[in-house]
Amino acid sequence: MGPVIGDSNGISDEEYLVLRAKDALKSDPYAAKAWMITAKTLFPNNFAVQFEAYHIEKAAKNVKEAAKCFSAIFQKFQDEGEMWQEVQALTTSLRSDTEEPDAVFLRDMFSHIPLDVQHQLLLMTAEHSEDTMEHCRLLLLLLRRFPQTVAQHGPRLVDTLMTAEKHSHYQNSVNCFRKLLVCDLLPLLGSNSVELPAKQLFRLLHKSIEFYLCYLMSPSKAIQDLPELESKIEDPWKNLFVIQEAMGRKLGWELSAMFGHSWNKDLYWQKIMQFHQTRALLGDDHPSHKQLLYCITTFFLHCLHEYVSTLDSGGGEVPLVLVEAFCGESDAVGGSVSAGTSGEPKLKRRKTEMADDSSSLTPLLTVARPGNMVVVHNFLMAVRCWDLLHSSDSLERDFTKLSQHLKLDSWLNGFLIDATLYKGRFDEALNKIGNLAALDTGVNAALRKYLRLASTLYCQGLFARSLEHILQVVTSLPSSSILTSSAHHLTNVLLQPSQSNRHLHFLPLTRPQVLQYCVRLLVAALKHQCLPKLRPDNDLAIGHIITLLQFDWPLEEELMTHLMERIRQVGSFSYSLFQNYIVNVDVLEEFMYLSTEQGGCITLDIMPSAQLTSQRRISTRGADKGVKEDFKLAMKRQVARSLEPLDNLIIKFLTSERDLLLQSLQ
Amino acid sequence: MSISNSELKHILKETEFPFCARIALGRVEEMCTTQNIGRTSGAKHVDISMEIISEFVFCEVDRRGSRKRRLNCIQELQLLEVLCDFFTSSVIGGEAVRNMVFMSLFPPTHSDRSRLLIKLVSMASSTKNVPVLTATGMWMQKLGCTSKYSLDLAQGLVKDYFVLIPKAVSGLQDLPQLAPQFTANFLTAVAEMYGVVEKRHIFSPPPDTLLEVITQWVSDNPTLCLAALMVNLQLALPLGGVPMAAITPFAGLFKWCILAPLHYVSQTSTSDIPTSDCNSSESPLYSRLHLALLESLLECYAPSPGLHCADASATENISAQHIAAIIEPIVRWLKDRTRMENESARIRGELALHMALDRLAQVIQVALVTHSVYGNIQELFSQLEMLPENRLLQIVINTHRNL
Repeated sequence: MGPVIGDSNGISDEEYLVLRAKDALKSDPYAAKAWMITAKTLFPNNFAVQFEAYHIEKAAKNVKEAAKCFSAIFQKFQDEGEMWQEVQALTTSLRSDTEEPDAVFLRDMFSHIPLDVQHQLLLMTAEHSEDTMEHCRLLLLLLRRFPQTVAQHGPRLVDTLMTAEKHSHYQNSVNCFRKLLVCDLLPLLGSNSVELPAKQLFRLLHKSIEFYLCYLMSPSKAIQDLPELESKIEDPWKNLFVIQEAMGRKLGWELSAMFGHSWNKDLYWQKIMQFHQTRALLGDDHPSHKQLLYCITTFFLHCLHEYVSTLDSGGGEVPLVLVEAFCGESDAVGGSVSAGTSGEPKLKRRKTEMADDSSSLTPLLTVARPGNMVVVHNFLMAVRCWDLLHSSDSLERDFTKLSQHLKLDSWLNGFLIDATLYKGRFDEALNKIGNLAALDTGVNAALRKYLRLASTLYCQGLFARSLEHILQVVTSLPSSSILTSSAHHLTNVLLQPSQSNRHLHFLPLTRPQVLQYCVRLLVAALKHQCLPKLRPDNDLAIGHIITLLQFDWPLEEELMTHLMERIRQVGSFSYSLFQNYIVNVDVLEEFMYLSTEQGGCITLDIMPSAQLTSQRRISTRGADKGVKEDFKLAMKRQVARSLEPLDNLIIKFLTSERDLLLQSLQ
Repeated sequence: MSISNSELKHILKETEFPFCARIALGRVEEMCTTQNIGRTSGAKHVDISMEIISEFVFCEVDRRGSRKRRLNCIQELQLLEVLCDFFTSSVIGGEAVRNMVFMSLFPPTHSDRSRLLIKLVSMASSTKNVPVLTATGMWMQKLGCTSKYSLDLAQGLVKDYFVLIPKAVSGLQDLPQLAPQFTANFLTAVAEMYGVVEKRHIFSPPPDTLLEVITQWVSDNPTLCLAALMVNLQLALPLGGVPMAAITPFAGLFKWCILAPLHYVSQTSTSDIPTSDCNSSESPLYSRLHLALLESLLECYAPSPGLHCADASATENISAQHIAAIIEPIVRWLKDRTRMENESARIRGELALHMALDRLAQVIQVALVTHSVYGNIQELFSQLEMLPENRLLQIVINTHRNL
């Protein structure tokens, strides 16, 4: 106090009072406050005095008192630079959740400021903000805290955000302005009764769908010009459904109410179908046309997205590809392929199967693991939506326009290949696979493409061309170290007893499962090509099949039995590749048995002649003991190889014996 | 009235103390009720009830009117219990009748009963007996908060109760909420009591416990000092009763805060002992109390919702004259101060003087801005001229003299 009394002559009364208050603060906060009260009442219109009072309350952490001072100053001295800085510090603290003491205090203080002042404060700050982003964020803060102001400021903010996005020339819709518009503002507008012109509502719906699609498709999930923390969107589909419901409500749409529920997909579909059927007679110009279009599209995109992400191994699963698989019971595969295996035991239907309930003509769809069943569900839903969207000219026309606008192509390609394959339109599928090749560059893109080609050509009965792609698959197989680690136990899922004439399978892109598929496809093709005919060179095809059956032995033991029976009937068997590829103990035992008298003393020409000492064919009939010993020795050598890794053996067989395979398939 | 007064007296004589006191009180209440609704004329009834009270409640006289022995301690305690119970249960005539009975029990003419009154209020404070405290508050207001009767009561309470009970602050914390009017009037009386100037001293400081309790009360209850103004007295007083003009504790308590620095600096300079002695330095509580009082003035000016000032004059709660009364001791202190020749004592004296003047100026400023002052303000300003120069005081004078 001492120096103050002495040295205070040169300063103004206002400064003197502030000085005394500050001085007292060090020793006696009560006295400081008494000084401040005096100063405030003496100079109610002096900013420095009022602001100092605020600072003293703030320094003392008196939230309520500080809020009182702040409110008074804000209403009186909005043009003061210092005040403005404090206002900005306050609004910044409101938008962050930092635990910094100053920010915590300011947030706390804000809650003690009267509501009308809070409102005014946010609005003023927003209006003063020169940065558009800042302006919009502040207005959003205002709208969030004061929902009653949404009607007043909401529509204008929509315009601001759209204009800002336009002028910023972003490459795509995943940018900061769109995010604020779609994720932050629209839900607020949606829950409010504010009215917007229909044209605007359509535009907002478009922008929302576009944003969420782009966001979902972007691998990085980064939003341009937004910090990473703000770029994470918790549940994009839920958000989009909320917007669809709200915009639909504002447009007077009855159907979009379904997006307000978290139903399962079947219920959504039922709702759509009910609506579609009751409106079928109303014609295309009817307003219900638009709501049908948008509601189906949103639902379709939801199913499509889930489908595509499962195929691409979203969620840590193994990526999948849809391929033609094989039917056990029916005689025909793919309409033109016949399988000779009759008498497959009728298995109980497994959970991993799902057939469209409508008729036996629709293909059976299976997955490798029951957990993947959802992919079938999503696929069928997406196909249904797609068909509905193309059920009338006008719907088709509008959907095409919409999908162009939304740039859906890259998403649709994979799905449309699968859909055409599913519908048995193989030429169209081949076309689409060809077109896709240029676009798709994913890790599994090549593998997927060759598998699709092999599978489609197989369906068309073009086995030789199919083999070319099988060989491409084999060369682009994932290396064993990565994917065999999951140690898949192969099952017979690729071969299903089925009422319908087709079976499609979502094949996991792992080394053993892809290889198994190649083996099964070739076996089926060879069976189809050779078994019905009684050609002299059938031995070659039978040899190939026996070689291939070793891979997932003993899953197709029955076919093996059938083949052995056939050899016995013919009475002889010749296969020059025997020594190279037949190593399975069970198979070798069968041949040993065939060579015995009980086995029928079949003439087996299965060892290369060069190796035989007598330069004669191996014959079980021969009195030549040496020959018999040679045969036994040769078989022993084969048995010794039975522990060789089968995948490498089969790959070697496929790549080295391409010509002999082609010979059997022609 | 079911039985005649002579019959009643007969019955009462047959009844043992303290039961006779209870019955007598009921009778007095009945008479007050009829008097309050204006059915019977006052004078005769007042005499009878006075007789009954004297003979059967306080047992001061026997049937022939001669003095009896005082009640012994146990009897006194029994009587206090009866009184407390009576005020808690009596609801027939409402607050006005209760206040009338209280007045009849402790009229200004019977100062000999004040000893019992102090005990009664002490008991009510510790048992939180709101009806007794409220009636006491009204009693003080009727007789004047700064009257001899109220001062005696206040002094007795402080001496017998506030200073004695341990943890007075926490024990009495809710008194302002329970009985605001009593607390406010008690504050006014106590402020006056310690503000009285003794020779050679300009201010007799209150005990620390009391100062602590009061500071806590005022800080926690910004409207407490106005409580005496908040009650509609006409409803609470007997028909035709006229209350004294309400006095708020503001001026008295401000006087403490302003004079305290001067008092303590005089103490140190006369006693030659440096400031280490705790009794000789100003308690920080004065600074806090001063602030709490200023905030109370502001509170009254901008009343929070739910609290209503009856009319504009309700904010006029400090008399200019009472503020002016603070100036005189300062001037007197200045005259005495010429005796201080020691340099360091002179500097300390200078600091204390300016602290006192700063506080005085703050009080005047806030009181004027909140329109709390009534009376001759010009006279107050001319008296301020007598004080030595102080910058804040000058600012305040310049600000308001031009208005």
